[in-house]
Amino acid sequence: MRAWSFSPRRGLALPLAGIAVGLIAAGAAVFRKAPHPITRVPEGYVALVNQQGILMSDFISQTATEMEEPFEQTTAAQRRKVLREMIDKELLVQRAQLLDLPETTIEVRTVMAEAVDAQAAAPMLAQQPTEAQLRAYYEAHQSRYSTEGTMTVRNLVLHVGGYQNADQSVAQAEADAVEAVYQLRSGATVDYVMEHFGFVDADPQYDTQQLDFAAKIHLGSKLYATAQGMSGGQVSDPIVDTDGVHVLVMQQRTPPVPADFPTARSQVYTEYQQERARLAQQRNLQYLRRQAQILLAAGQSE
Amino acid sequence: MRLALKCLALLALCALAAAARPAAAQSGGVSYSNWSLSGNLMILRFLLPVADARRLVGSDIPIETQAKVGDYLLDHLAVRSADGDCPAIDQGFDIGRVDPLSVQPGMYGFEIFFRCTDPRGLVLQDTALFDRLPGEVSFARVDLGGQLSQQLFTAGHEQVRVPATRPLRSAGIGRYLGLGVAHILGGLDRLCFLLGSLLLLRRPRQVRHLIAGLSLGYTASLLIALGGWITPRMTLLGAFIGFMVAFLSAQLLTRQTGKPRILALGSAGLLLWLAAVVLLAHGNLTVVLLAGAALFAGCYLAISDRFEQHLLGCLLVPALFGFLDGFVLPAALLPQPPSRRALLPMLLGFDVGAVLVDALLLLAVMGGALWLLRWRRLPTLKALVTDIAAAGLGGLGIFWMLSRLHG
Amino acid sequence: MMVARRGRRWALLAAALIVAGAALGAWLSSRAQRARLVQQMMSAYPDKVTDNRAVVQLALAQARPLFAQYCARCHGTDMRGNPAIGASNLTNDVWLWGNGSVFQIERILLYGIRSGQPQSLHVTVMPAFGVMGRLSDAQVRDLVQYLLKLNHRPYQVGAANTGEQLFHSDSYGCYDCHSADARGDPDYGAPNLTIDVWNNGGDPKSLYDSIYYGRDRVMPAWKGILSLEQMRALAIYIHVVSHAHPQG
Repeated sequence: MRAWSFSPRRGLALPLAGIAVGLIAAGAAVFRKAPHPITRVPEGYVALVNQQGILMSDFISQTATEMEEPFEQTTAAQRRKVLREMIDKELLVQRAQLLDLPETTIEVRTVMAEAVDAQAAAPMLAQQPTEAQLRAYYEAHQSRYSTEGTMTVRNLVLHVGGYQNADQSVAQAEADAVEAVYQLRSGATVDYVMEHFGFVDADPQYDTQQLDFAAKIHLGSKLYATAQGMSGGQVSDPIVDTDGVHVLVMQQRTPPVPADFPTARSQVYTEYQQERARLAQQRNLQYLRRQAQILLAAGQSE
Repeated sequence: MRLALKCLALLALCALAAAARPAAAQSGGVSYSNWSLSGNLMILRFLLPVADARRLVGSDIPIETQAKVGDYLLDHLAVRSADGDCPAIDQGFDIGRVDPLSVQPGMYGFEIFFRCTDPRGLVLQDTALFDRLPGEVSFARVDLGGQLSQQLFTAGHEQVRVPATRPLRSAGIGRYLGLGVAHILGGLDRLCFLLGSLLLLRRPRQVRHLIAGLSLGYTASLLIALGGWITPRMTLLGAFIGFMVAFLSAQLLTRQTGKPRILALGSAGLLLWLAAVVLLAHGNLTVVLLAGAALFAGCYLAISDRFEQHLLGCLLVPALFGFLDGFVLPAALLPQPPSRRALLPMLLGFDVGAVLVDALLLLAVMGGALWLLRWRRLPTLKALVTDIAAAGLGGLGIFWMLSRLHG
Repeated sequence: MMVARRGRRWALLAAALIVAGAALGAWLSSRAQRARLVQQMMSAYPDKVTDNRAVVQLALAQARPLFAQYCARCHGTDMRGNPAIGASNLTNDVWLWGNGSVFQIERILLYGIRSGQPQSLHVTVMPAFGVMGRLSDAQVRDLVQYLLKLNHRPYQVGAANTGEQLFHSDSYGCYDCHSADARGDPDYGAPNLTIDVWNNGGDPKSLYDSIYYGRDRVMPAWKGILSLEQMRALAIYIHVVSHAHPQG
């Protein structure tokens, strides 16, 4: 135990070495290499603009693209021109940062957010799914996959109010429409009913065969919900909408049929990858949220 | 009785330490400006640490800090020429008269353009922060058509006049000497170290070793800082200075008790325990610092009775303190580094000022103590002071070290 | 006796110092040599860099572990790719995108293919002709026979002739990307269909899948993950390997 106190028999060497090592360790913590501004363009870069590098590779590519010839064949003047443009662009980007455009300009913020999303998703997209994964995804979401149905539908409308039917009430129009439907179902022609009850064709340009998604756009969600369940030759009950009372006459209908896996594979693949990209983006956001300090004012929630 | 007195002193100093702010031991704030004349336009770039900006605005939450600080600077920075005031001009777009800049982390940056009708007989004025932070120092670089000079704005020296007939000369060495003096006198930890070191002297004339050690340390830091190889991490440097204050206490106790083994093991053990705690929380450089300090303290205290009889033992601790303290100015200059040629007079002035005030302070206190001991014949005075100081320095030193490590 | 022992100690100490000094000198010298070569590797125009044998040796040494760590997962440790995921064989001088120069390989490493990076290669994809309903199952099979014929493999004559007509038909526009002689276009990432080299497999079933279901594989961008020096070394490595075994 005497080793801890100084003994004339022992030298000071070991404790002194301890002192030196201790000081070196503490010095290594207290001091760091002094930062020096970069005064020489590092290899791999063509220029430094306010310490921000422009890649040589980007310069070569940009020159070849802009001058439409291989980089080796471009002249010094052409290269100077491209370099000047790239430096100008870098200066403008840096100025944009100084002006806090990422903070203040919606377009810049949108592009930045999309770029981060794309970067977060890219590694995930690089991993290709196996057939088994795709098939499992297909089976889990089978209702989504079907062939596109088609329909040819006449959309008749009895307008309520407005210039043409200023005195028409909804109840009166609905009663007329009920009668018209009865007559159509009894074999009256569409043209006769239109003329007799004052119906007009709501979408005269779309009374040809349409894919279901197009019909949904043209009819609107409310009418489409009725139309998609109808079969060829059927007449719908009157449907009250914002512009009047509608009657749908389905002239032809091919309903969608569920698609088997080989048929739907491409769509399954795309949606599977999109789902994974979305997950990667969500995880990225979760990570950012963990790192961030977010304070909400009293009474606010998200 | 002596034990009770020690406990009382320790409690009093712990209370003092708890009441003190970690920053109280550090020097005042620092800001940076770059005045560049281009035609009849004086372009001013001003850098301000985020902490100072928040103290200025009075909020810990950075809401509109940038805008408020910008407005404040507009009121406190000015350029005048022989023709009168040079107004700050609107910079177009939606920037206004103060353009906030993106600068390095931990800083706010602003740019103001002053337009002079005739840029002769210029007077640059910087009164920013001196009303709120009296110890504030503003390092300025002035570029008048390629002629560079380094200036210093402090409370009471808030203007720089550009001579009409000769180039503007950089602030003289005397200004930096004053900065060194203010740095020592304004730092409680520095004063504690110096006064504590006096108590370790076996003979009055050993004060020359103390002064020589400090001078050696400052000289070494000057040479290394001029080389520009390394720069300190200021938080850890502050913590290590705190450790050195506490280390004086351990040295005093070793001397008083005559039990170097216990003190060496105790000090090293305490520091290693702290290192282990830090390692569990987040392993980083703090662990290395604490482990190094533990090794240093353990080995030094174990041989202190013999080691302090050697010249190296007398010089080592003050030299170490001087070395660390000498890096304060180079670190402060880092956000706006001057050229090496301009750096020499700045560091020389600062270090000479620090050593001078150290020496004068040590000699004055030593003289006073000798006078007291000789004429008042109070044989127990030194023992009493030593006991209180050992407790106080230990408490304060550990407080400074931990509070700075914790940031 | 004492003097002799002390002398031996000094001799040992001196020898140790000499050995340590020599080792330090050799280490410093090799570091300086390496720094010089790295400087040459990075400052040379990418396509000229392989002229310098020493630089190539340095790049190979640096790139092998990098390839194993970052690239082998898809392209395989033998660099022969993986048809199951469309990872290309890097040991032959056949390139889907670009011409296989160090510069082109480096661009792909930097920004990837369809990686989400704005500068990545993503001009085209191979459309899913079958799924989209533009080609029937039989037509796809005819095209497969035509591909077999192009590559001098056993094929059904009638089906191949029909496939050839489909290939050159304006309705489907296969030749638009793969060119009229089916030799592909590396600017669009359209493969040469006449050399029997296939990223996604060359058996009839794989060829059928490529036409029927389409292909749009992704390669990640390595900018920001690997340093410029590492990417240059990898580009040289891949270029050298692909040109050393042009037959694959």
